[in-house]
Amino acid sequence: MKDKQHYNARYPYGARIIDEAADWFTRLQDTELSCEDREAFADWLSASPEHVREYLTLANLHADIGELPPTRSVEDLVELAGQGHPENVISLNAVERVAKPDDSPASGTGRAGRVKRIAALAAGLVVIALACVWWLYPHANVATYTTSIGEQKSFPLSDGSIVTLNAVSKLRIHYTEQYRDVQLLSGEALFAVAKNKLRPFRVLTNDSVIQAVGTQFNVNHRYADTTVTVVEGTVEIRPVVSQPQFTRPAPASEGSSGEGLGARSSIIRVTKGQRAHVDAQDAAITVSTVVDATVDTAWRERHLTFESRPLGEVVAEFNLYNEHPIEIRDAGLNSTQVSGSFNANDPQSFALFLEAAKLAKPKIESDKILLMPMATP
Amino acid sequence: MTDAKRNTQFSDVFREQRGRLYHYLKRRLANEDDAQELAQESFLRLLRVTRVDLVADPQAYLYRVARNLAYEKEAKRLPAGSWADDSELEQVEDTRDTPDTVAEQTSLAESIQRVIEELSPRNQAILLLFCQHGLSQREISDRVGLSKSMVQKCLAQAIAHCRKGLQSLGKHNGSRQGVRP
Repeated sequence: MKDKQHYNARYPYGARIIDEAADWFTRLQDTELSCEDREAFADWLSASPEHVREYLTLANLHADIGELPPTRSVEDLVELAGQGHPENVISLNAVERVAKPDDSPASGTGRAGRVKRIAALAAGLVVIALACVWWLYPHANVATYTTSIGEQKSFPLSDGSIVTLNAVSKLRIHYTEQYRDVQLLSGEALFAVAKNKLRPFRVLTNDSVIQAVGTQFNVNHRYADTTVTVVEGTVEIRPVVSQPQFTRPAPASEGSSGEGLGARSSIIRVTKGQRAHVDAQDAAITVSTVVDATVDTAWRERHLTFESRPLGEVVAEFNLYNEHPIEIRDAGLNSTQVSGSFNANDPQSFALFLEAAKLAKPKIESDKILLMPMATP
Repeated sequence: MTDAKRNTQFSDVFREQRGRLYHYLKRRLANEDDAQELAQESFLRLLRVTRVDLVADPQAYLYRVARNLAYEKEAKRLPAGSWADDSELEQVEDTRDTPDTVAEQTSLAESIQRVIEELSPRNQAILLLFCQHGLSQREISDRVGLSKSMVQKCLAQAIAHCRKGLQSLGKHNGSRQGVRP
């Protein structure tokens, strides 16, 4: 029992966390949780890294038990389970009573009670410490969302607008009373904006401010430039040459009227079915008409469509969606023009397409795809 | 198709999908400090997830965060060189039965077997029906004649007991390999 004491000394509230984690884990396995329960579970997970750790550990344990070769049939086990006397169950487990997540750990008496109180105190301190860390992050009005490789995230904002964030992207929400500002730090996002004329919705990138009232549009800020495609309604774009001022928490009032975009002269209106490209270097805006605006939002279905795009960019795009990257092994290939429509999660087919089109010679390895120039005959 | 069969299929898919995460975590968690670090980072990321997203499916979200973290950690390690020759990555990617993990798993399997045998017959049976035979709690409840909430309680007790037992044996994410006599 030495180990157990050692364990208890190090994590005085460990046993309680194990009980709580076991309770949650079993409840989540095949039950439809009510909304309140999901809330409670999210709270529990967010309360401590020890909770997260214990939950993952139990998930592991569950898988490990499942991997043991079964020694008894279902029928035998059902019979065995039916034979047990309820008293038996209670007496055997009296020591390790399953604590409900909301059970007070300080409810014991005597020595055990003291241990529990210390445990409660320790747990309380952890919560306070975490709360401090939590408050150090600017989160009151500013929330940052990031996605990693292959991850796409869609979430509603407090005003009812919906943001869909593509893979490897970063976005910061900054709502104030006057504006609904969203800063696209990198990557790509689709915005479906709830109508509110009094409180304009603005997307800010390094080189532009895109303002909408009630509309749907895609912003790609993967590279230095910004490309805006309007799916529905109209947006106004103002190029920004210097750093945008919105990185500060409260945006200073803009222009004299405060009605949104300041210098009227440089504002470009872009409507449904148009695509605007803002050059980060000289702030020049080029507007073109797109035959099918959904091509620019097809990333939501993990469809990639390219029209005469350099291979270097195309490959970079594929690599946003896949753990196993495509690597260009010859710099000369970077500028090769590629057109076509592909499944973002199927880089192999793309590689075979390149070969069939005699654009590059792929070598498919277990963890990556290499692209070499076609051998000259 | 019977419910039991469907459920087995479901758990198979579920297990397979989570397999890589488990194998990764198992290795990571074998070391106390790594376990702390991973839990800490998963936790911090969960805090950054929107509340709406987290509440929508907290478990799925946790798994996703942990898995992404696992990938990222490996990706970060590789360029450093020290891990490039190590078989760690392959073991994460592909892994199931290198001699090393087989030995590790054998002694782990023995320990798990031992702690399961300490359970009351009922809890033992319910645990095995659930984890090994893939019966749902509802099915166990129907066949054994216990209420569903009772089945869930027994299951939670059984899993918690195993976890504590393994912990005192220094197994399952403890740092020692051997089974204590």
